[in-house]
Amino acid sequence: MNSSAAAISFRGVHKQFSLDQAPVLAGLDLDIKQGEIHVLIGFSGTGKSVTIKHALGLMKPDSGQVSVFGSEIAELNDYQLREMRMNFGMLFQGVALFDSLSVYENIAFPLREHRKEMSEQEIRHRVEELLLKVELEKAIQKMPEELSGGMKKRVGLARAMALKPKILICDEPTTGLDPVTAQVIDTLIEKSTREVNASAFLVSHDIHAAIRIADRISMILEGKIIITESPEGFKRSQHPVVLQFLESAGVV
Amino acid sequence: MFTGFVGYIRYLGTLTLFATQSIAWLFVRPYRFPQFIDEMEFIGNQSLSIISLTGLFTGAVLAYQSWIAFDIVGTDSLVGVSTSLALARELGPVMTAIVVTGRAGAAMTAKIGLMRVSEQIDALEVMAISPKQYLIAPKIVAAAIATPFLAGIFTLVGNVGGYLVGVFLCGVDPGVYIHNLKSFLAPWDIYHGLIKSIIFGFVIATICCYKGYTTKNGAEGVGKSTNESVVLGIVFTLVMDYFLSVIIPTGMRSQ
Ligand SMILES: Nc1ncnc2c1ncn2[C@@H]1O[C@H](COP(=O)(O)OP(=O)(O)OP(=O)(O)O)[C@@H](O)[C@H]1O
Ligand SMILES: [Mg+2]
Repeated sequence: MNSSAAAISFRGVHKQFSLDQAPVLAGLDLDIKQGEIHVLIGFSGTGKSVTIKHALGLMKPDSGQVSVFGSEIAELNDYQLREMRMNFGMLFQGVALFDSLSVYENIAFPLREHRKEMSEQEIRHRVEELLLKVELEKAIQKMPEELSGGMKKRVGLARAMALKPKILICDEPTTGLDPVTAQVIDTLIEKSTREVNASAFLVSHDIHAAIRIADRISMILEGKIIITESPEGFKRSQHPVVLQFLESAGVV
Repeated sequence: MFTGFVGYIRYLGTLTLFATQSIAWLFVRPYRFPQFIDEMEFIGNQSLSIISLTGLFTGAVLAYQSWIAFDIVGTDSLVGVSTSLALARELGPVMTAIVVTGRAGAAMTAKIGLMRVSEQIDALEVMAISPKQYLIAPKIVAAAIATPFLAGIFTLVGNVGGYLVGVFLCGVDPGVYIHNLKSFLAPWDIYHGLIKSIIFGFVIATICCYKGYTTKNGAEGVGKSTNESVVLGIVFTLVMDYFLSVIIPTGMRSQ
């Protein structure tokens, strides 16, 4: 593992699902540096979720490379791929809670799998601590189907953070939350990432939150990254599409 | 589903690969013993009442049907052995396989399919847990172990049904019924049925898990793959049954 390498790096990634449609990713280049909070924005259906799935090795690029801490995913064997994934905590856009398990068991799941040394009491302690952070301590015994969309998101985030991942990936963590809870969640992601000097790769539509917590912001359009900038630089961008995005959000 | 002979062979290859990959995970830590126990409970234990019920009536109708035929030529002393031979060799394994497909197999496909379309399987992978190890392998192994037990119970209860109908409805002498059954039913007839059941359970679970695992297109896709897995499970059972019946030795029987 190369310590100076980016946490995640995309090099010329192409991905096309069917021949009669334009490619979703068309030569995407992007670096998520170690220790940074990187927010990816873009219009609906432009391939943000697809980009994330490439970082996790859930999708394979048609061409181009995706590397995590300097090792290319396509070259890893099954065992190495599992090792690589131990770096990640992931909140899916659809959350993907295990619907046969309670909130408690969902969050305890990664701990039970990968922290065999933890006692039942330590696990309970950690789960309660996480639920407190996402302000859901009352929902601990509920089943996923009894939760609202926003509550599911927060449980999903707690599950993603359970193992204190080196890279936290969240696909729209605050979509569907009220502004107050959204801010709590953004702050939580920021704090827990900075605390352990981890990296975070977030997909968001909330440009205000992005400007507040991100180190860098990227925008995807037609399968490419059209801009990667610090929040200040992003606000000053003269790119017409970025301007359009900023204007409609009332930033400029 | 598949087009032409080549497509059919390719499909068999895909299923074989899927089963082999899943089984290979059995030998990798952590061993999924709790999941295996859950599956045994679901596939085996929870099927007991429906297997007993269908077994009882299958045995009963078999005895009645063979009595009609034997009575014509005046050999109704053979009702018992005819019933239990058919149960042990064919109807026990086949009917059990069909019940397992409809009950446990369909549920497997639906559950795995739903996990696929709601990204729960992706979530497992991202957590560095192999879905084949965690979800698939325990189901395949549990089905291969539970199905022969269920077939055994089906056959046993079926014989009770056959005895009740044969003796009390058709008036076959109870002593003769049991005597002929004992002297003509060979151990290999039982083994024959059990071997088939192991294979049925294994193949059904493989098909049903594969169908769930490769589900696409949301809720509609889950319905489609569940439907296909039940149809395929039953078709595979009946086709395999013929070939297995011919291949597996009948054993020595004193004629
Ligand atoms: N598994 C798949 N098979 C085929 N096409 C897909 C698949 N996943 C995504 N796509 C296509 O890729 C494109 C990008 O999808 P993606 O989910 O990445 O969008 P997104 O940027 O995350 O949008 P949103 O903000 O609405 O979540 C879409 O046109 C979608 O139809
Ligand atoms: Mg998306």
